[in-house]
Amino acid sequence: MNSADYSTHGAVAVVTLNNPPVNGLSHELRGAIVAGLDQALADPAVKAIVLIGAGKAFSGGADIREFNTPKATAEPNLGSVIRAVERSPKPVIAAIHDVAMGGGLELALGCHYRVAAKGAQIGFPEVKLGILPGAGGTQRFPRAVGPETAVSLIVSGNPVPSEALESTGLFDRLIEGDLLQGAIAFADQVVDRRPLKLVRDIKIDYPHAEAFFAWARTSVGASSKGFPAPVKCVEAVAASVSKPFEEGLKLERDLFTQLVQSTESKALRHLFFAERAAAKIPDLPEGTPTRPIKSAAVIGAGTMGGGIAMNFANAGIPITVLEVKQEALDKGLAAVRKNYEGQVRKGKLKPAALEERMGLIKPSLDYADLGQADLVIEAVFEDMAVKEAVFKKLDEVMKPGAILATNTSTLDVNRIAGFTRRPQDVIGLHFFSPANVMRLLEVVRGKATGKDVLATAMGLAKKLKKTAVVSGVCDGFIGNRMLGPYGRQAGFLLEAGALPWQVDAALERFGMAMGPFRMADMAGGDIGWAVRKRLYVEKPQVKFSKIADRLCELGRFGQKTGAGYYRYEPGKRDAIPDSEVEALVVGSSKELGVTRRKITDDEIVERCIFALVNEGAKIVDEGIAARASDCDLVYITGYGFPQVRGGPMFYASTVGLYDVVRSMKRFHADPLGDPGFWRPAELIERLAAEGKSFSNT
Amino acid sequence: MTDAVIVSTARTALAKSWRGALNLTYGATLGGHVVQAAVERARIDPAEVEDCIIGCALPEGTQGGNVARQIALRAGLPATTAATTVNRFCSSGLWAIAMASHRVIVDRVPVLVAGGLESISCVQNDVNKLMFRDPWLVEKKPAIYDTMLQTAETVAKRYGIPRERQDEYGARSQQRASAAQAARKFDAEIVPFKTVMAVADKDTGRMMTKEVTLSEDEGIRTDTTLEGVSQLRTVFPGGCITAGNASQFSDGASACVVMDGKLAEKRGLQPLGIFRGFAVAGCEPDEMGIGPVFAVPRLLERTGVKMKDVGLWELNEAFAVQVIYCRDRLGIPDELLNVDGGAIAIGHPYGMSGSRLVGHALIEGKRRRVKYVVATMCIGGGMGAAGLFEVA
Repeated sequence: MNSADYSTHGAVAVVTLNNPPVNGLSHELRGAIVAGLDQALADPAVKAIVLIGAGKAFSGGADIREFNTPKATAEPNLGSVIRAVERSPKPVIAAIHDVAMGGGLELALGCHYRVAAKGAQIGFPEVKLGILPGAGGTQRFPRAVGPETAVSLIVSGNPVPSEALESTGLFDRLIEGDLLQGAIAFADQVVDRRPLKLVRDIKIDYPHAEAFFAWARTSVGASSKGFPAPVKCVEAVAASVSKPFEEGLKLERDLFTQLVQSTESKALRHLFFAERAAAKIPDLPEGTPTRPIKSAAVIGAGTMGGGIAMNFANAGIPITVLEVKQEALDKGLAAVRKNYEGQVRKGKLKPAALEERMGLIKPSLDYADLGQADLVIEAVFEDMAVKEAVFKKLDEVMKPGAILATNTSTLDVNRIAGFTRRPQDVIGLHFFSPANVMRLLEVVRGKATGKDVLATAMGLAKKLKKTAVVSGVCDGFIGNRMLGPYGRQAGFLLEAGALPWQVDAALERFGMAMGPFRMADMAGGDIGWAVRKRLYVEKPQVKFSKIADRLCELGRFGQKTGAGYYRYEPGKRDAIPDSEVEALVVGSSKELGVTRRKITDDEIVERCIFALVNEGAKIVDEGIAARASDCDLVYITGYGFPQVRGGPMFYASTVGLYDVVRSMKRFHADPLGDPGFWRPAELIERLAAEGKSFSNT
Repeated sequence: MTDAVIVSTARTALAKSWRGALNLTYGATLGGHVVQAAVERARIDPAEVEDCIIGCALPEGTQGGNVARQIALRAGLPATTAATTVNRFCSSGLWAIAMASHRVIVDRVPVLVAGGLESISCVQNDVNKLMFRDPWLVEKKPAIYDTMLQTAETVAKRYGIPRERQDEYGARSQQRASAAQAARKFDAEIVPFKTVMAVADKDTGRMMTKEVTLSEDEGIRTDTTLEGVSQLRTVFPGGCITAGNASQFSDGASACVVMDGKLAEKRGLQPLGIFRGFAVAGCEPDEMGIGPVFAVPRLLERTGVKMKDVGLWELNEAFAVQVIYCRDRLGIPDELLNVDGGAIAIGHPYGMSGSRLVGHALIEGKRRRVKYVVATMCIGGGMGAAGLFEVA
């Protein structure tokens, strides 16, 4: 099968890229382009060749279905295709509509001429996957559009519409009306024009090059710490000015090879695929019917309820916010308004949009106002008795077919569903605070949750611009369940010899947005205390360091009380190490009869991060998460795990599961570190024994 | 014996490093601009300039290759003008003026140019680090490699100067500089500079160049309050140095014409001031900020001038903490010190600042009709430098 179509229109041959959905440059398509070119060259009646895309794009670049397969680099590779185009003795014209990105744009840059429809998206998204354009893009693009525009677009990865580049030399003509007709007409005009011009032969005249690129390197480096690709993009583009074309090409190739092998790029590519994988639910076929969500309701106008309401208002879905008391309702809506006003002040929201959004949020004190909503989300206090009352009430007032969702972060969704006569309509929608900012949405599937309800939730998440990850029911679901042992290990480290600020600093250097103790202080120590009190009864076998309880007994609940693991000055959020806490920590060790030892940063990182990994593996083993990459996505989008490390499970794979298992066994031998927990999860043991990694799951 | 007199001064406005107007400007172009202006202002024939002494703390990259010689040529001085680049870190500009004066007095040079420059933007990030630390020193005297920030924290700790006092000083520097700018007190020294700079668009991140004319110091903020300064985050957790009580990274150049006093008189040139002496003194590298405490008494002793005779002081504001310490130890009256703000507000292009301080002290000293002015500075590595000038 051929994935490019060939036709002739008078003296013009038209090669149409045809590989839906976006004409990704698959091995097959690459071969077909060269074949079309050869056919045109062999036909003496053909004087010029137009390359155009079928369907929704000229070309979106590399075919992601070929990623990590031998086909991605099989000959003819993109460089060879471009070389073939450049060497054509007959002019080749790229006719661009809708999308020319990455490799697609590089192919167009190899052509003798480019014409484009207005509104076509032009750009190089490679940097977002931790790489750079590797088929001459960094050398040809600056020759076509100038080094400043080129470096800006290549570094940002974001596309611009074709008309934004009208004043540059990229396009020979912007075509209104039918693109193919326009391209053929253009081709007819240039058939005899010689010599044929190539972008590679353009000499860039840019006197500021040395200083500008040094500045760009500094400026880009400062805003992309931990990500090597953006600075390499600058370096490659700089070569387009300072080096002859072929040398620049070679540098681009070297940098590409370096980047593609880098852990950071592997992590970013992993997350790219993780996001796609998370949308797929093994027993939920594509095309599962969904229920329309035209209106929603949220119970509770606290920080979470307000944040959830903003999500719906932002997506244009009217939402009713229910509270018990007028005062709480007023306070909640005032907070929402203040939040929007902040966005207006920063220029992120138009003043008119503020009123529009507030108009979509309807306050209410009466359950009767919710009855007709298609979806209701409960965001009340985390207490089973409270949830029971709410769901019994919802069961009474909600119309048949309405989806009843709970925002619980730890409680049993199956029990909650059991409070209603319609458990198939009940689902967990666990938003993360602040709900209008955090990308993660844990979709908790109860044992009775209907497939259409699940499919609806997944579709809704997309509409709300959330990254949805499906979790089965268990204590804490994916994210908070993994967080449990992470926090507990951090506590044990204190007893063994570390101090909170050392643990936080080590994990923050690793890349966590916030260490566990700073995070606990921000979330509020009382919340963790309530969870522990529950677990002391429900799961007495789970071990905790007593330090957290001691702090809570002193009323040190974190930022809100001015003291927790750290002390805080009034009105400020800076965590200041506190000698009182140090004394308390040292005292705890003494009480346990532990001789405090020096804890290295390495040990802190290993014990905390591998705790995430071990619990994550158990979660995958139990089928709570469909795949290891779902755990990664949860941690990247909801828990401040560093993107460049690809998530805890991916990180473990980069360390090597063999070494991870050995570390776990070492921790298992330490009686102070909860040895019971450190038995490696079966999945890890198995993969390590087979020399595999989590990407094989 | 003849006097060495300063007959003109010229400087660029100071631009914020990396984000400011000079972020793409070559060293020779930057320095050449002010040297040319100083010579023009002195109404001297460029061919008369015998030597050009330029201070620079990072004399490499675009400031390398004896940049003074390049500057002289770029300024339109003839090939017959000699040139040398000198480095005494942050006091390089002051040192250059002292050297030029010595050359007039000792070597009978009729006319020279002296000054300093620093493009922190275009040099600092790419500094040559090859064999940067001598292993013997690393072992025996590691403080020689302390960052300036560390030394400032050390001074704060060692001499018990709390953050509050530093913030107060920092905020006041901004307020004084802002008032001076509003009163156009820097106009007589600044010579506007047309150049091309790089900018990143705030919203889109697009990187581009644009043509600008730099004519006002970019670091001066009109809205600084003590409350605002006290909210700033410290560089080191638990430390006290913040962006509000330390000098700003900035780029700029300054130059003056130094000549034989008798020759100036013969030409009917009105000098700004007369060089009266210069002293340096060393101190421990880990508290380099207190250098003036040792340099100033030496200067006064050698010149026979008393503290009370000095009518105006410029003590370079590397960090508020060391200015406070030096001021109090030396007994400098606060109302005569850095009266128009200092490096905390205006900026501190290392090798340039000394020349700026002398130029400003002479102009402001004349306005105040004082006799003596002192420009003094702390120096990385543990030194102080101080120069005495008589307002003409």
